[in-house]
Amino acid sequence: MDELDLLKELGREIGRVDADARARALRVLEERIRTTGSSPGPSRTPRRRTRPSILAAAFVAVIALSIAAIQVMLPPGSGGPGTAQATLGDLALKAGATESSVPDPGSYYLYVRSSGFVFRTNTDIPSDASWSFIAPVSREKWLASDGSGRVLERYGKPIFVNSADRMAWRSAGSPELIPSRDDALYEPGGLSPRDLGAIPLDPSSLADLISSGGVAPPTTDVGNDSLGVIAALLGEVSTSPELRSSLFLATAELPGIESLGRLSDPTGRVGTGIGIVESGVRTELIFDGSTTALLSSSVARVDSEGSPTQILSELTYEVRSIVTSTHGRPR
Amino acid sequence: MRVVLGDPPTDRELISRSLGDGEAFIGVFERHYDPVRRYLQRRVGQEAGEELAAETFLLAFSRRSSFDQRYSSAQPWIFGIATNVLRHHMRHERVSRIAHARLPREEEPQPDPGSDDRLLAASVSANLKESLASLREVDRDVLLLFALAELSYGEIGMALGIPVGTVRSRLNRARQAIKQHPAFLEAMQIIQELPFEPRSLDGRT
Repeated sequence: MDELDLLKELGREIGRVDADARARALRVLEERIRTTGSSPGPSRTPRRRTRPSILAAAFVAVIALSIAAIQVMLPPGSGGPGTAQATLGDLALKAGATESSVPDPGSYYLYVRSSGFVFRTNTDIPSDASWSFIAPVSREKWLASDGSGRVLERYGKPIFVNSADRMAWRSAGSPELIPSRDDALYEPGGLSPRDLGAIPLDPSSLADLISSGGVAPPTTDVGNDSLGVIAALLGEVSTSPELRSSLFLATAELPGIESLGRLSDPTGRVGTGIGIVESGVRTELIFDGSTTALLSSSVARVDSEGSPTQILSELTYEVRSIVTSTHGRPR
Repeated sequence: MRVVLGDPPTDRELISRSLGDGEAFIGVFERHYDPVRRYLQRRVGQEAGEELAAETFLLAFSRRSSFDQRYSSAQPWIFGIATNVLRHHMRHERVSRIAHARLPREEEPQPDPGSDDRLLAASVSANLKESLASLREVDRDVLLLFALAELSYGEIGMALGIPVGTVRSRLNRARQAIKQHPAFLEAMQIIQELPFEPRSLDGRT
């Protein structure tokens, strides 16, 4: 008996046919077919084609050359990073070829709605006791091009990380863990870098700048390490196609970046996954392979072997749209 | 009078037809549900596996327009969706486990004295799970699609969207890693000493 033979024994007692399970699954599927009719789903919708400008075409050509340069620099046999770079190169090309959706300064806001859960630690000042918990969150963000805007967060019932945290919280008199609603306005530069135009487009310079902390991290739960900053810029900020493309290429230069292949986000949308471990924290992102939109992010503390020890956040980006005020929502 | 019956429609034909007539997709379900359900149950247990299998076919139906019409069989495509559903499920399981890792647990039932055989089988199962958990997710998926779902290299490649060469290297890496893992070595040792056929090894990988 070799290792495959032994593995084949796992769950061997599970029946080849289970009529009850099949009938239940079939009922659910038939109901779905009945309610959706014969609609083949959103991916069937033909995308509007636009004539790219000469500048955009030139930019795509530059990006293609950058990708080729990065790939040439790879040492032979560097499978993982090579795969990540090919993946990110592809995303960069697609991002660079899209039409700009950056709203006019001062007139419009990028509206982003996300949901998931976040890890928080509270400290009781007099006793210096602290307790950690995970809270479900639904977040709406209105962001102007100067980095000002509004963030409205609603939190669900928190879950303590362990019983010691619950005890510490009780000993401190059971103070409020997190407000059920938090609504805040931000001055220019408060939610994202004030001048995105000042960020260099050269991928290497951009990667260096981000790694050195030179790009103010947007307010986010994705994390403040390099990939966290990049994710926030890609997911929650109105970036030009050029900057967006450069951000993907800068990501490809991060040491240790890896491709995770095709993954589904918490809502079942399938996308392209990338991940990295920085300073003991693992960040994973899933992008829509066609539009390059960030679908979801997850951040976890990991041990020295890379196994997760504490989830810090998991967010799914549900809606992105342009609205005209900090109270507007897409219809 | 002779009645000539045609070949049954291929998955490609059924999926293509289902774009206009959703009911045609039931033919795909009938053909592939059981192997997918069994694979998922062997990986995450009976109840969760059944739920994930149902979810897999709902997703497959809603994404049927993305099926690559160059292939006549939908099996690898559906196993690819199942793998994504499984990964997502496992991430949430992991979150839940971490969130509740040190919460007080219910007292575990003590084994009755006559359950030595079941204990041995459970021990093998626990060791296998531990060794599988040590693998990278991408390697583990390849290994178990090969060992449990019995897909070929080519089918695994199609399911995961990777070249066959990558399937080979991941499978090889997973096999090498797992057979050197202490928990796996222990499982092998126990299994060689089992006085019965190991028919009751619990899944959940």
